[in-house]
Amino acid sequence: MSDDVIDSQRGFSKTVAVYTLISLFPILWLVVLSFQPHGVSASTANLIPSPFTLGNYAYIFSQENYVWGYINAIGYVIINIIITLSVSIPGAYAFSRFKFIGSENALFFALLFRLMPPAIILIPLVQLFSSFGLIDTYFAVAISHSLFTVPISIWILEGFISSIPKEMEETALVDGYSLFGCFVKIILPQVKTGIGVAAFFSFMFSWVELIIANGLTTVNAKPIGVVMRLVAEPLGFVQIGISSAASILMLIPGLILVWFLRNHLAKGFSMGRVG
Amino acid sequence: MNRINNGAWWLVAPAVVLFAVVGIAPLMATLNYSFQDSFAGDNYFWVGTYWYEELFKSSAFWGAFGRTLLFAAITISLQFIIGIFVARKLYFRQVKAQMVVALIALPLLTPWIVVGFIWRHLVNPEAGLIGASLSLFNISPDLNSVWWVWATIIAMDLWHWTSLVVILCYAGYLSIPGPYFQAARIDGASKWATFRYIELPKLKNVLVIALLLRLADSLMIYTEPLMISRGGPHVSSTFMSQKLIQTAMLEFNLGAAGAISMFYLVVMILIAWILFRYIRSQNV
Repeated sequence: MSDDVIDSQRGFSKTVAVYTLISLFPILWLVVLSFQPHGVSASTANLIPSPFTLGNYAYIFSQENYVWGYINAIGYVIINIIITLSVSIPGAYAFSRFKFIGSENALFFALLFRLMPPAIILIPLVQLFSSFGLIDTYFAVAISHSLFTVPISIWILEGFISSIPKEMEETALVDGYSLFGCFVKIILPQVKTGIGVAAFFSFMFSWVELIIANGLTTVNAKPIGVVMRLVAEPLGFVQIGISSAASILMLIPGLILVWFLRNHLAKGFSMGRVG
Repeated sequence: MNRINNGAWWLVAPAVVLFAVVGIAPLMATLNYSFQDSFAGDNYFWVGTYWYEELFKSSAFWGAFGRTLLFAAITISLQFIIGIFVARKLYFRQVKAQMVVALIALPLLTPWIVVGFIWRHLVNPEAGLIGASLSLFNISPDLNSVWWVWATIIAMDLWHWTSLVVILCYAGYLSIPGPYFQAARIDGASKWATFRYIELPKLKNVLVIALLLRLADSLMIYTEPLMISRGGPHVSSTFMSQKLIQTAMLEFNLGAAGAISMFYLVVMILIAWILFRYIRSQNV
């Protein structure tokens, strides 16, 4: 990939440093704000919280609807990831290993769904789930989100599966494995990274999406993003302390995921087609 | 194993069912609505292309569409210029690039409502980091002015999404085999020539994917600008998605909303088709 001459010139790039700082400073400031009382945050810009307070976090953990908001969001995101992976893995395998009628165009149609604005199908989705009594459930949000996460997952997984030589399955079949067996024992372990990346992208969409998550939930499945809206709307009163604390808590799952996948992110973003 | 095997459709079947039930069926319903009207929300009757005619005559609609296109054009061009520039530095000059990638991915994982919230507060002239800093130079961001609203929304979008372009391009650079760079150096190619004749062509696929994703997300932007200015002042920051949701949820006008939705969809399909054809032609 990169050769020795380039490697010896590596150090710290000023551009990259500046860019990284820019990417992080709003989040770092959010941390500051979350430890400061609202009154102070609303009138002065401090780089260090003064006075320092845990009041914002205390408030959030004491409020049922906030706590449930987090639980709900995590709930439907996990269900979304399960649905997405269950549907995408076989699909990606098919696109990678087989040619079948319409396979070229099928990939295009699949990708199309990722590009569709959620606002377009919001109302019919509400009606659809209403008629099945599924409004305000994790399932409704999870499966609606999978419309958007499955296309990217298939794209990513197809890339990863394609980079495994077909000979692997052929030898396994010769050795007597069934198709399913060789899939589980040979392919799956090798695309672990791909699965992690696909899960990451699904999380990246489902955790942050608001239009559908808001439209399909009322009380029991309301995610934290919607709860936060109550205290962060520009028309109403914006409670900066609480909103900041809520925001930091909302960033933690993403931070955890990024940490676990830190060595695989770049490869994953190239959709498995690196090298 | 790459023979024609239509049995493979069984593997794709779950995806097909998913798309059919949760995607196509609602889209058909929306299409249906776009051709109908009702008196009291209960009895629907056919009105043909009425909503579409109204739509194309509506200056509010074209305003929202035009603003969305302008917004997308500005932010996407800036994101690609900055993104490719930073990706090159990451690839050629930065040690421990993987760590950096993890760090700059954070804006991409920030819930959209948080993005809107923090940027609104950032430009507050007294209490916001950016606003207060600017105030030291007697520049006071005022979210009642169209200029500041647009500047804030654009800055916010750049912060939010440029990293996607950076990471995608960086990954693209990783897949350019070293010998290409060596050959260019041996031939004495300038940096610009290397960029133009080796790097850019090899990045084509990645750039198109990045463009596709950015276009889609840019044209459907909703939550973030809503948090900054709620579409104001007046309608100057009302983009397509907000117009659509207003029409559907606030005005309960499902017919007009249906027409807007179909128009939106056709635009996205066109863009996707053009870019897809381009990828296909490059990978033959």
